[in-house]
Amino acid sequence: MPGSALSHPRRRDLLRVAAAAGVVAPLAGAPRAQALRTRARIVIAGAGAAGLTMASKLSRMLDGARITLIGARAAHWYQPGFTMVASGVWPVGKVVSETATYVAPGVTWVRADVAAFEPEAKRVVATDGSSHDYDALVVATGCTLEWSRIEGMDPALIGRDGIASVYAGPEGAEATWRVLRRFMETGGVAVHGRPPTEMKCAGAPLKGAMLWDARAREAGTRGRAEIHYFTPFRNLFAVAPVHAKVLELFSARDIAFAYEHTLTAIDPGTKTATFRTPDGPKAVRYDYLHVVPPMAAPKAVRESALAWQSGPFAEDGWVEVNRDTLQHPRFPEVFAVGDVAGVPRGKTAASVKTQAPVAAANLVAFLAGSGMDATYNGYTSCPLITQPGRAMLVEFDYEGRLTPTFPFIDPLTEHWVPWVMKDKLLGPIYRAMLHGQI
Amino acid sequence: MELFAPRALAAITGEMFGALLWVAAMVALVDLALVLLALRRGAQWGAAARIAAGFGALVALGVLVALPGFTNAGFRDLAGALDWLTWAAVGLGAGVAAALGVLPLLALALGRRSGAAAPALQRGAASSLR
Ligand SMILES: Cc1cc2nc3c(=O)[nH]c(=O)nc-3n(C[C@H](O)[C@H](O)[C@H](O)COP(=O)(O)OP(=O)(O)OC[C@H]3O[C@@H](n4cnc5c(N)ncnc54)[C@H](O)[C@@H]3O)c2cc1C
Repeated sequence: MPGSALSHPRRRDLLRVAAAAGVVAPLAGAPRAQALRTRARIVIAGAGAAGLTMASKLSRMLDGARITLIGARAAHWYQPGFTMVASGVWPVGKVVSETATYVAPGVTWVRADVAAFEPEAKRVVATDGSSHDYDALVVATGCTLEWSRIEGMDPALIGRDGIASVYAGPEGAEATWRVLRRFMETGGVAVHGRPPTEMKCAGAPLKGAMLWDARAREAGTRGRAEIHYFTPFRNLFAVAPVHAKVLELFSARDIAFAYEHTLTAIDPGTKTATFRTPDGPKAVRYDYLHVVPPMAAPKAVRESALAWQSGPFAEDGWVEVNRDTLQHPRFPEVFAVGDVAGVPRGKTAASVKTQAPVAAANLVAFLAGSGMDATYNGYTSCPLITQPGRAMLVEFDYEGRLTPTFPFIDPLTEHWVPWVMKDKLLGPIYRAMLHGQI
Repeated sequence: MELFAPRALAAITGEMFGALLWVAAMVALVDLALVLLALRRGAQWGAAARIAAGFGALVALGVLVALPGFTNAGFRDLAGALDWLTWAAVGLGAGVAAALGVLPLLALALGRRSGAAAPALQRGAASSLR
C-alpha cells in the first residue's frame, strides 16, 4: 500500500483521539459493533468510485477480513465534474485527487490492474504477475472507452481540429473547453451525439449540446452556429418524461436532432463525420465534433466467464448479475458494482451510492450464510445542466419512474438550486461515499 | 433515505467544509464564552443588539449580492420560488449568524448597563449599608 501508508497513520491517530473522546466513533473507520467476524479474503477489482466505496463499506462491516483492492490508477478522477471543466466553470485540478486518500485503513492496495479473472478457481491475476485467491470478489472496473470502434478516431486528436470529448479523462475535458472556446469565437457547425452502447452518464452528451448553445449565446456567436445532435435511438433520453423535456429544450434553443444515426467514422482532414442511418451512410461536415465513444466492459472482464453469455449485455461483456441483489447467478461469491455491472441503467456515480450499500450488505449476508434482502431499484441520477447556472435534477429507477430525492425540487424544471448542488454539494457527497460514510 | 441520516449529514458537512468546520466550532465556543461573560458583567444588550442587527443586515446584503456569483451563476439563473426562497434563506442565515457572532463582543465593548454595578461592588455597597 505505498500511497496509503503515508496518509493513513495520521488519519488513524486523529480518529483514535476523537474516538477516545467519544465524539466521532460512528464516523471513524473502525468496524461497527455489529461487524461480522470473519477471516474471509475479499478481492475488489477496480479502485475507482465503486471499488473505493466498496472497500470502505466492507472494512466497516467486516472484522478480521483481508480486503485487497486491485487498481493501477494512482490519480482519482471525479468524473461527474468533467462537464464543469469542459464548460469552463471549474479548473481541471478540481476533478483530480489521489486514490490513496480514499483507501480505507486496513485495506491492502495492489497498484496493478486485473489481467485475468479465473472465477472457477476463485482467483484473479494482476498485471504485475501477482495472483489473488478470494472467498468473495467485487468487480468494479468501470467501463472502457472504445475509440477504435469509430474509424479514423484517435483520442490523441482530442483538442485539435475541432475534435472534443468530455469523456476522455481530465485532459480531454480541459481540451474540450479549449476547442469550445475557439468555436465560440468563430461559430460553425457543431455536431454532438451518443453511442449505441450502454454508457456512463447518458445525460452528459445532452448537457454538452446545451452548454455549447449557452456559451455561444454568451459570446454572441450563436447566430453563426448550427448545433446538431445525433442519436442511434428513437428518443433523446430513455426515460419518457425526460425525453419530452429535452425535446422542448432543444426546440427552444434551436438545436437540430436526428434519430437512428450512429457515428461510425471521422475524417479529421476534411472534417467529416459519417453516420450509419437506416438510409445508408450519411456524411456530415463539422467545425466542432464532440465524440462520445462506444463503451464496454474492460477486456479482462469481457473475456472472462463473469460476463453475460447471452442477451443485451453479452456483446459488450458487462458482468452478469441479478439486477436486484447485484450477485452473480453462476458464481455466487461474485458481486458487481458501478459501470461494469450488467444491469439496465445504473451507470452513474449516484447509482454507485445506491448500489454499494446493497452489494455490501448482500456480500456480508453471503459470508454469514444468511439470506440476502437488500435490493437495488435501478436508481440513476444525472443533474442535467441546461446552461451554466441552471440544471434539472433528474433521478429515475429501472422502470423509468422519476424518483426525486428532494420532493420540493421539480425534476423537469430548470432551476438554479440543482446547479448549486452540482457545483457545491455533489462533490462532498461523492467523497463521503468514497469514505464509506453514506 | 440514508442521505438524510444524521451520520450522513455530518459526514457530508465535514467533507464540504473540512477544517473550516472546526474553526467555526471554535468561534461558536468562544462566542458562547463571551455571552456568559457578558451576562455576568450585566452588559448593555439593547444597544449591542441594535448594532449587531445592523451589522447582520449588511452581511446578509453582501451575501445575497455575492451568492449567485459564488456558485458560478448569475441572478438571471434564479428561476421560480425554489431558487428565490433558497437565495433569501441563505442570506438571512448568514446575516443572523453574523449578528449573533458579534453580539457578545459588542455587549462587552459597550460596557455595563447604566445603573448595573459589578457583582463585587454590589456586595461592597450592601455591607457599607449595614
Ligand atoms: C463526462 C462524465 C460525466 C458524468 N457525470 C455524472 C453525473 O453528473 N452524475 C453521476 O452520478 N455520474 C456521472 N458520471 C458517471 C460516473 O463518473 C461513473 O458512473 C462512476 O465513476 C462509476 O464508477 P466505477 O467505479 O464503476 O467506474 P470508475 O470510477 O471509472 O472506476 C473504475 C476503475 O477501475 C479501473 N480499472 C479498469 N480496468 C481495470 C482492471 N482490469 N483491473 C483493475 N482495475 C481496472 C479504472 O482504472 C478505474 O480506476 C459521469 C461520467 C463522465 C465520464
